[in-house]
Amino acid sequence: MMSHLFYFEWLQLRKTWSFRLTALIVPVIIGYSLLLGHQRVQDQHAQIQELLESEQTFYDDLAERRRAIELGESEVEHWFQNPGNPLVLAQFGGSGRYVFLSPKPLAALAAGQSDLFPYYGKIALTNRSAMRDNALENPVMQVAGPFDFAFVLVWLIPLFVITIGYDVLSREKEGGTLALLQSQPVSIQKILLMKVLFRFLVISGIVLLSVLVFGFLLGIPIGSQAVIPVLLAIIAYIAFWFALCVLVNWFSDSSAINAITLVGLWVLFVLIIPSLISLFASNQHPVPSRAMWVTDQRGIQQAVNEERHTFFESWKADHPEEVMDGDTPDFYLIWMQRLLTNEVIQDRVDEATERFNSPREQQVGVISKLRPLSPSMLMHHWMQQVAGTDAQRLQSLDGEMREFQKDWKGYFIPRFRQLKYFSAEEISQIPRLDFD
Amino acid sequence: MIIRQIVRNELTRLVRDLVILTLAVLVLGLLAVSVLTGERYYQQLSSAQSEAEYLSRIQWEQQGEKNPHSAAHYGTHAFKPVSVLMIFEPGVTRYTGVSLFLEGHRQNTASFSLAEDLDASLRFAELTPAFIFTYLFPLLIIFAGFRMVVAEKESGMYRFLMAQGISRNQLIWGKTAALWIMVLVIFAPFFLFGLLVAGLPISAEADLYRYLLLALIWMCYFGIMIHLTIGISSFARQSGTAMVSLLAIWMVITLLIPKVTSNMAASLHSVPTTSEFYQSVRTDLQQGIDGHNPFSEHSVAFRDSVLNAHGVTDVADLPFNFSGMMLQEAEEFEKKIYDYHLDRIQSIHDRQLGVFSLGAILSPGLSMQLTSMHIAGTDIHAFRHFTQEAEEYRIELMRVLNNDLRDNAVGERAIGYVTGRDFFEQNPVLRYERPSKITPSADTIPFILALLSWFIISAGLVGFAASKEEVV
Repeated sequence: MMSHLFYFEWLQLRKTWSFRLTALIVPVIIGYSLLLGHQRVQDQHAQIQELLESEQTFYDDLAERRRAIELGESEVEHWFQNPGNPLVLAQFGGSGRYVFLSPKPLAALAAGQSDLFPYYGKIALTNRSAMRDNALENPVMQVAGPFDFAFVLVWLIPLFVITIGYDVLSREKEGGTLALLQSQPVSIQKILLMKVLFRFLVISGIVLLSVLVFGFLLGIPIGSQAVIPVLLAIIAYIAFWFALCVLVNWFSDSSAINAITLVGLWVLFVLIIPSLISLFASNQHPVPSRAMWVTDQRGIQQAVNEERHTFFESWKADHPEEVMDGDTPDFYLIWMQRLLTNEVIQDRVDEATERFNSPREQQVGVISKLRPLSPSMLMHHWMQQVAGTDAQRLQSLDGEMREFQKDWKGYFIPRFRQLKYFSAEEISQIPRLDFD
Repeated sequence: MIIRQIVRNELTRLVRDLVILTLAVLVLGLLAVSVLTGERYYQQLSSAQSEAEYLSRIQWEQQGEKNPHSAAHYGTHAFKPVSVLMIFEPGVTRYTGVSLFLEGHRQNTASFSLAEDLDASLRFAELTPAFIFTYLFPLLIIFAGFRMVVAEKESGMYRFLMAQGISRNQLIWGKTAALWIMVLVIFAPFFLFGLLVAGLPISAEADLYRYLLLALIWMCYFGIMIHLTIGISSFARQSGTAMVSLLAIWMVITLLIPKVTSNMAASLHSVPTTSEFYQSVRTDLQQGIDGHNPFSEHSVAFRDSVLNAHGVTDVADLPFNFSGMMLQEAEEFEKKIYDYHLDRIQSIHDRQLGVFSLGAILSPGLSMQLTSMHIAGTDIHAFRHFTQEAEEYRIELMRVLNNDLRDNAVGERAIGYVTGRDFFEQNPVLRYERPSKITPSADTIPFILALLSWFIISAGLVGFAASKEEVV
């Protein structure tokens, strides 16, 4: 019975040009979106590799120079050229370490916010800067946004589903074949169900097959366990839109009205609800202006710098054992003071940043509460999380950098305070961040 | 006469169509919300901008006793002003940095874009008039018009009407006119509302013109959608087919082509990464005068030429402070290098925009967006105008600082020279004004032409449909 219904449905479907077009276009756009995503991820891997190598070369070179000095083969003219000096190793001229958010295995699926937020940065003793590799990007591109698989799935696939499913029952009514179907020994509900099921299976098949084939060709790890939930989610999302088609068809007889209703629902779930949610969230918890944040930060710097001597003297009084007495090189006290001032500035800037970040976090909270109102929004967010390109993960870069900077400071500053220079052997053991 | 009756009849049908009426009211409601929230957002941004500008100037003036060159390193910020028309068409406003750090020796890029602080889970769905007009309004037109002609055939009315002596020409143009009237009736209240909420009648004249031009551009886009809808409705045999074809067209011109074009442009003409960029700047800078290194080859040559010109052998014997002069010389050299490299980036952006004009030919949605951004003063050219002005200001400020060092740090005051508040208060102030004239840049003209051609061709489609004889 089922195979009969499927067979007739197939005969019918394959003759409609909307189906033919879908079968042709969907694989092409899926392939293209995966290709773009794959290139993006490859570029990131290449960049990470290159930076790690340059970092390695940098420190190898310093160790080499240090060894030459140890062996008495060369001498340094200025203190800031001595590779054994903790400041030279931790702060000056390109030293410091990169911190990365490595792309997740399925990063190719969604570009997310990766065109806005950097995925790596560099820390030294006093600075911590995320590398905005896209600072030179044409902003017109960002307006259009990346063409990724998440976009194809969340925005476009439902439109194809609507094209295939909007008239699944109404067409029979309009064509006058409904009466014919009703005279069959099978119930009309069952026929409708089978028709929709068949169409659903065909579209899901096209989408899944395209993902698997192109994913395999491009070397995206589609064999991994992580892919199974993604495939299930794709199926569920397609099923949701077919369910809407059935619902609409059940209540209305006109194909034209069905099409309007379904496209209206698409507009509602994909465009209007998300935009209203973010509007609501940003009105509830408005984020203060970044321009003000910039001037705040300046104010803090200025205030702390004016009092730097006082800070240093009081710190010295509290930590007499940390400061070397007697004859120290010129740079010693200058940098002792600078490092301390920097510490104070960082702490105060952090407080100011907190004032700025907390409304943003509240916004995120409101949005995640309201997100279930739109399955499209849910799906899109989830795809970004799977790909590791959601704003929250990318914004965690700063936290990672901060953590590592703590280790970095903890490693170098005590040695600097005692002016204990590094040997060539020790230079090659400078800590690095473990990331996976 | 007959055509008027056709129009009236069609309008009556539209008004009685509950679906269309509801959708029209919804669209108007969304437009009102978007204008009101947009206006609020604009007010917030512009007051924050002027406040930050004011504070930043105070910080500059009260930076304390300092050597002018330390002040150059201390630097100051320029804050990007916003166009009032961002209420209607935000363009790239959200994606360009709001603050630009102006300091000695280097040209920075603007940082902190608004987009970084928006948790836009679905980024492009932002409720602005431009968004509603680009995506939703065409759908409303399609919904209202896709059946207009084809339904007459389906219901058999078409033969009836022909038999009554109505020409196909009258029928089709009458329906086109009805659709136009519907669009104008929905658009007019929005137009007035937007005009008043944004306070355009009392703001700068240029902004009013910009608004009027924006309305024209949108009208042009709506016209294209109206013509396509009637055209397809006349050729289709079934209303379902008309609907699906129109939806396919809508999807291709508003969703697919803009995204594909932008990704094509990015991969055809890729921008170097920021680290590559600064690497090549550094390489070039090392070839020149280093203001901080008096021993570099170029610095020595420059010093010798200055010494020769004044007939002395020691910089201390010069009637002015030599390091002030050298810093200025270096600043100008550094500016040249930065200008050269930033121009290179700009030309890559221009080539990318060239790819966009290709996309604009294929999609009236894209050409409309790009044109209206330009008219609203929220496109990349408006941003460049700001960064250029800020850069001119920066170089002027650096000159004033270096000249002060050159002229005043002489003789006994040479060592440990500092200047203070009186001097900093006299330093030039950046007063950025948005251009008052709308000058279509060379790369916007293709977008405008594409839009106009689409308008004419789509009208031609209706004309062709109207003149074609058809037996049903």
